[in-house]
Amino acid sequence: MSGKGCEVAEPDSVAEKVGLPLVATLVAAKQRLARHYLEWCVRGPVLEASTAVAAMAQEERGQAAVLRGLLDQASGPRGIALPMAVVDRAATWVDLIVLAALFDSAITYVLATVAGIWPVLSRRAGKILQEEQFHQMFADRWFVLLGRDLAVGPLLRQQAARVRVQVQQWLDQIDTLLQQHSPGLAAESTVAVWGRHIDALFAEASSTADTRG
Amino acid sequence: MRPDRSRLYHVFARREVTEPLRQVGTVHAPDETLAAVYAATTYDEEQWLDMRIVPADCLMVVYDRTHIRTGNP
Repeated sequence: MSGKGCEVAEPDSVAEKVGLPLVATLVAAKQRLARHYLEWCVRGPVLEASTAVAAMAQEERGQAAVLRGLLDQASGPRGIALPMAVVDRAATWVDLIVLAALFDSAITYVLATVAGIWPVLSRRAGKILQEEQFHQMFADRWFVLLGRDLAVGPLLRQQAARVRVQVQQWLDQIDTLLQQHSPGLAAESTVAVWGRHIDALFAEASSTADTRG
Repeated sequence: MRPDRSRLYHVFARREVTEPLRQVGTVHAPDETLAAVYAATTYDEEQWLDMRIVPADCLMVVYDRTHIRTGNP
């Protein structure tokens, strides 16, 4: 693979053999997520939420472009197919929040894992992970707000359970790829770490509403 | 789907250590986490050094002469 710049990765090492297809997967995931956010950037339930989603769309697109720079476009590796629930249009605000809470967080866990084994990626991941903190704060709080809402809470939990199964299968494929090339890479699989985060989120969204604000 | 218990937050920011924090705007949010996200995404036109939020109802009145300007008692 010839360089279009000094940072286009050469697939010599184990990290790059697993890193390149995973970066291709992350690029596709971020592009799709950006599309979802873009479709909701003027349709949120409050102006502030729409503004936040617009910023998130821009950031996802920017992050995808930064990550795409690692790939050789001519012979780039194929990534792992996205879950159908992510490909489908987010028709309601509940759909969007479920995607943001479950899928955006899953992407971030994968990025952090791959960045940990691949220095070329870790140099680019710092700013992305910083931006993603705000995405996660936004998604998690909205997930909890909607989950505690008597009218939409049951719908959110039902939709989240459906998406969770698909995202979990997607993460399982990623973990398998990681383990094939880097056995013993991490003490815990990505899906386990993500699963704990989602368990906590589901529990908070199902608990009695607090009285703040 | 609009959160019911929305609260007004003032947003403060500065560009340099030597600058005082100044108010750059307000956001409505149901809690401080979303208020922080909304502040960061709404007032991102500058490269702020730091940004703070404070609930509007936490500001303490020293004195209030708005009635003189508005004519209201």
